[in-house]
Amino acid sequence: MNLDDILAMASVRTPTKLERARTARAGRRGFETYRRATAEGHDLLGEIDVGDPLAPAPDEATRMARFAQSAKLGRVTWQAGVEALSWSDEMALLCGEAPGAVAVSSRLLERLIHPDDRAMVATTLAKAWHHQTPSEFAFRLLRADKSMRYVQCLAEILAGGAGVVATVQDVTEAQLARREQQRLRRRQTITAQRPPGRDPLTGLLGRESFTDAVDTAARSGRGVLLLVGIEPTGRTGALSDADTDQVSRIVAGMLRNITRRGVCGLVEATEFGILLTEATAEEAIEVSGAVVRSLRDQLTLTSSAGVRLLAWGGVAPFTARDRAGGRELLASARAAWRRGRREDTEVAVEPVAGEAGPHDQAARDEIITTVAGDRLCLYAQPIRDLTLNQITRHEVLLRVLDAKDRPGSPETFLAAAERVGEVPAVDRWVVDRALARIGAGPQTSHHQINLSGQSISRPGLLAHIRQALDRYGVEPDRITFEITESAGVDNLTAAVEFADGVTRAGCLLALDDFGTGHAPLRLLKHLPIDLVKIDGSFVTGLRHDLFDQTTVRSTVDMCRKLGIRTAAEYVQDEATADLLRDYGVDFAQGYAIGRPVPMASADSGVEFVSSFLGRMIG
Amino acid sequence: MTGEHESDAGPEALDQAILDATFAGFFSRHRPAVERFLSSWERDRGMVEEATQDAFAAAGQKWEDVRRHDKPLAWVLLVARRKLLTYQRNRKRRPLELLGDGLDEQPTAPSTAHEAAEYVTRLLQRLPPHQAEVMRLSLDGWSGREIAAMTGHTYNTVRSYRADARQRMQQLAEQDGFAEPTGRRRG
Repeated sequence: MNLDDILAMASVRTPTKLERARTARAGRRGFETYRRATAEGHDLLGEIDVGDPLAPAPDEATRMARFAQSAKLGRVTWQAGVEALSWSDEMALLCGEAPGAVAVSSRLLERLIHPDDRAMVATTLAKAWHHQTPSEFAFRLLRADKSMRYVQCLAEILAGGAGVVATVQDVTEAQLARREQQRLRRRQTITAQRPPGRDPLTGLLGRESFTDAVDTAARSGRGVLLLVGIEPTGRTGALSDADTDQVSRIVAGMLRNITRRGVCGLVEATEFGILLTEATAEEAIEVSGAVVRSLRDQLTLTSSAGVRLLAWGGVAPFTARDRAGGRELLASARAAWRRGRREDTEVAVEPVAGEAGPHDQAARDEIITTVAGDRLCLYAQPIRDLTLNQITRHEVLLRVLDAKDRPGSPETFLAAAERVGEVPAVDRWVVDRALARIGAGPQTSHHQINLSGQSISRPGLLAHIRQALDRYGVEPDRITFEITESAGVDNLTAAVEFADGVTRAGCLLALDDFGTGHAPLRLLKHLPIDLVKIDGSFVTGLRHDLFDQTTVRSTVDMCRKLGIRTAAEYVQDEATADLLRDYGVDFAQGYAIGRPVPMASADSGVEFVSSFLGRMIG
Repeated sequence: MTGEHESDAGPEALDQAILDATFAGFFSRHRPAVERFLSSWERDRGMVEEATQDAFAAAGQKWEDVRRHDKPLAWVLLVARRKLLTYQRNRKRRPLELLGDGLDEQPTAPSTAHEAAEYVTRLLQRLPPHQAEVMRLSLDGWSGREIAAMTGHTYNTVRSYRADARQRMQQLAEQDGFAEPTGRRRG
């Protein structure tokens, strides 16, 4: 059997009974559709405009031109005999020109092709003409406004060598989607590294993860932190490393047995933690007593025998109202068991010192009042995609209104909020208002919204974002959250959880101010970052500073390998933008690209015009 | 509808009944060809059916004009093609998991006309879409000039695509183990 046999066999195919029934059903459905549409005066062809495709045409070029017009194809036609060039309306639009406004010439066509692609296009066309065969190729199109599009071109030969018809299609979206998929694949193969979770020896949470777990619990509700300090003493003095390890292992096993519903951690080699959420101090004291007594009762702990264990329990109860973090709670519980050792008490209790002094309370109240009273407003600054040379995104910026309602820099306000731990309230306000505006707009631009390191370390923000995305109908893949003040990430476990959640929801993640100290490399290692924003201090002097050039280039190089895109801030002239493009930076932002404008006007021309007119008249 | 209109509706209703009847015949005869045409360059069955249905509904609405064409089916194929292109453009992402579908397993020789037709469709789907649609129309008996008019290509391109497609199908069929003509087979 070969292809001919199969084709012959297939050609005598008649519909099966089932297919005939299906056709009959579809027929009835179609019949109803067009009767109803006709009754409602609704044209089922929609925008499609077709006559009889087999109707005769004077010549092939005319037929091709008619087809292009009706199918809205971008086409350039060159007729050999008369040396005439013409293009379809759609082609003019594709090149950023008004249809009929510009006479198409070979000089114009050459200018439309990206310089790096010109030679390839010329050779390909010459070959197609020489062999009189169709040819398909891709190139970059430079439009009148200097923006760039990826296009696919099919060059066809007219009958009798009468000329060439080139059909050009904008494939930018598909090309960008393909690149994004490649980038995501690369990022996934490097997989964001999880911070070390458990201690390999005991299987308990390590110090950092345990502190993070305590931090999250302390900020979410009530509970008790219990620390047990132990002091193993050998009959012959100091213990060997092996003995110490074995003591740790045995104690860990006992803790797990006694406290089934708590989270256990190894804080130091001789300090164990148990986190009991929703427990009262009394319950904790009871658990603590049981642990300490059973440890003290162990007479022979190790193989070498004769190791005695002294143990004390320290209890620190907490509620979210205390506003205490994991580190403060650990300090309290530690102080408690050490006091117990001094005073020879099995279990001691030490309430945590809240963060708030009277001065802080005043500052906190002021921030809450500012947020609740909407004394803030949002601006949007355009960001240019350097490949397409087009504004494709905006960063949402916060402004604080002064007594006379004039918007000003939020720096002092944010610093104060950061100091008293109220940034999360500010960030929630920004997320809410920004997403509301974005949802109400056309959602053609991508928006970048700032979140402080402190916010993403606190529970609750992820749920807030998910709800807001939902409520305002915002497409998640058009939102990037920028982590600013990355030094504020004081709970890496919570930050990782936030990052995973927000990327799972479909949003993207950026790291702001890259290069300025605050340990962002650690975040790059652990969070699924999509975009790195190179700090403006490396950009302003870029054209003349060799250090900055080296830094920017190697950041781009590193990020490429990690599947991360790059952006540069503070771009103040076109020459810098060109240099950044040469270095392979993906996005540029700064006064040379565009100044921030009130966010409403960034989304809605109408509001902008009316406020502008209002200012002119008033 | 008022009584006055109803009394006028007599001969119009008859005309409409004739139109409906000829359209119904046209529809049941040609629906498989339209689906087959779209299936040659789109794997998503649902989308193909949708576009076919759209094209025929539009043909029903314009039947009074379209039926006067030499070959009304050419018009329907053109509209169906346009509808499917619109659906393809609006599709968010290409279903990647479909791309490798069934390519790994060696197909068994078709034993019925139905199986042979299915196999031909799968072969066509492995060609570049432009070539596949030209080849499909050619297999269905359309002339090169008709195909050029329906797909918006030059006649030169249609000839070239038809030859390339034929060659590529031959290669693919041979890879699938269909190389020897029936009758000359060993054993």
